[in-house]
Amino acid sequence: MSTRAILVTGGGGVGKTTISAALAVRGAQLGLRTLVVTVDPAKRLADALGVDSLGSEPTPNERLDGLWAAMLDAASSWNAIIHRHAPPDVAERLEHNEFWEAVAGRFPASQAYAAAEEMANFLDSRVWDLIVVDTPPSAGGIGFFTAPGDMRDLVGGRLLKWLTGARLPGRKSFFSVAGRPALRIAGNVLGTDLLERVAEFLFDLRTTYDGLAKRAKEIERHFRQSTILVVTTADPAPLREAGRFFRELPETATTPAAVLFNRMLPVEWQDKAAELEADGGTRERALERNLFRWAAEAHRQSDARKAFVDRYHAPVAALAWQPDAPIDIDALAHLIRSASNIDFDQILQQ
Amino acid sequence: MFEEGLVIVSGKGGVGKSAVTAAIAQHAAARGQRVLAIATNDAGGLAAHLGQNALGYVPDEIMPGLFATGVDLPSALTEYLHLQLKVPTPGFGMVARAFDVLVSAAPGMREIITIGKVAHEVGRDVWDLVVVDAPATGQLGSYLRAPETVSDLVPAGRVRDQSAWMESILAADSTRILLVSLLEELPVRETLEAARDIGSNHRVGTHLILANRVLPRLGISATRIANLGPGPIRHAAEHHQALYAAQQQWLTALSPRESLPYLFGILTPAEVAARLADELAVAT
Repeated sequence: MSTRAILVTGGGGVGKTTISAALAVRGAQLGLRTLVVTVDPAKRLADALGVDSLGSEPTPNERLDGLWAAMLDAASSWNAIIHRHAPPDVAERLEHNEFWEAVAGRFPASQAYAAAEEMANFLDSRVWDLIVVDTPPSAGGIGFFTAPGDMRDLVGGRLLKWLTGARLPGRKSFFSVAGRPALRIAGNVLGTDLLERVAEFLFDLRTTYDGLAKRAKEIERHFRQSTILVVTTADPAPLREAGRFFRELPETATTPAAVLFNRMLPVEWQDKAAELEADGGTRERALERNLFRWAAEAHRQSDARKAFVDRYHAPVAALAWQPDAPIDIDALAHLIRSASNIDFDQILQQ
Repeated sequence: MFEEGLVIVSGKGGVGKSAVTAAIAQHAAARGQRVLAIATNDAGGLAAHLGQNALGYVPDEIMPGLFATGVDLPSALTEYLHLQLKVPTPGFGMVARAFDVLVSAAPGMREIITIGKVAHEVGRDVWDLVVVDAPATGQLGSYLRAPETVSDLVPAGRVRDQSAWMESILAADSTRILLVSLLEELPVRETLEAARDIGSNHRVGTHLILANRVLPRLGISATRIANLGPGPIRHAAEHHQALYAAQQQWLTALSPRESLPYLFGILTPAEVAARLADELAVAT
């Protein structure tokens, strides 16, 4: 029996981690052996899930049978990737290379790719029925799906080919700036030594290509079989990110099964405010003013959601704004069960 | 407070960095300053808050005294090579491609090109205020460190001289880093970490923290709310009270120098920025 993946994506600060946890809790309650893979949970949520250290192995939850949680440390999984795909001595050298940290820590796709490879490993282990992935927010979430291709390009030697000429030499000793007159001009500005050091680094990085390219393909196949859920709030910035999954969906991803509008206010507040306004007023002025301003907020949210639905015809669900973020098992399960419009039990059990 | 010099606005994703950047720019322009607003990565957010569809690379005057530009890497690279490194036209393509390689692989290269653009605009001496919608706090350190990183990497020559000059611009008294935060756990944690990192590892003029979307006090006791009958009035009061209490707790931990209020019911990004600009006018 194979493992299903639900990939939870969206911009920063929209509550993706909490919703991933809630989906996983509900999955476990429905009898599915469920693993939630998360990146950077708030401390109390991490405690509730029973993960307390970065890079931890999947840990079973003490309060809920069938629920496991794992927390990714992008930096260490990235090192694991190098050791998996490069010969041991080269991997060692790469880890201590002066350019290494820049590529591993900053190349935006590398963190997302590290998470994706980790996800694929969990899927391939077939230990779980369901894996919920709280995806890294790179490029508003889209970056997670383009990461395998971006990484293939990085280590694939396109850059290296330019430095070394059309034919890629088999050994790095073939390369020297002095031996390539065309590079001397660039060398004059940057120092030939720097170009040679970069070339050497790229040679080492290239040894990972065969392994990485193969794995990247497998990851992309996993992506195409996964269910994507987009989380947003009714605010302009996250909505713009959510819209990208409909405007510029990468060919490695499937159309999102649902868009979850998080932190939504009750629509009744708008009706009550309208009613009060028509009546003239009550004794409690401050309380009334408070309802009016929150009703205006609720109104703005409804408008933003309607505009999104009209534009993208996406199935959307609303989750109530809970001032105290739900963290314990029951509150998390309640959060996802109380979603309007979409039955997530069905999506979990597909 | 934010009317001249260089202001670099950063913060965790989703805290309203672009809105605050646009508000600072509009506020200063309204007071007669000549202002340049720069978007450094995705220009879409800043553009929307300034009421534009997109921002071009050449600064455009979008309101009287307010100019805006979006820095895209290829244009910035070309400009950096032409203006700052003075690479001559013959051989330009070769140097540009070498830089393409370095931008992908070498630490600090991508960042130095963006900072180079900012420093170039500051150095032109035509702006009273340059305000930058900077990368999120997660990447801020590698940007601030970039001139130094590149100096270490490139032994001598023009690249190194330019880096030293950029360092001096970042370290100037008139340079301020503004860390925008919300009064919530993760943004507060990330903001405090960034502030500590800047304080101990970087030479920048000054840095300060701004709390965004701060709720007003409700001014009604919990007992009185508890005695209300069930319904939207009570529900909205409880909602406000609970959010306010949580915010106050994080306010103590964050102790921001400035704060901007939560805006209720405002739909468009341009309206948000305009309202925040008004708030800045009240604060000063």
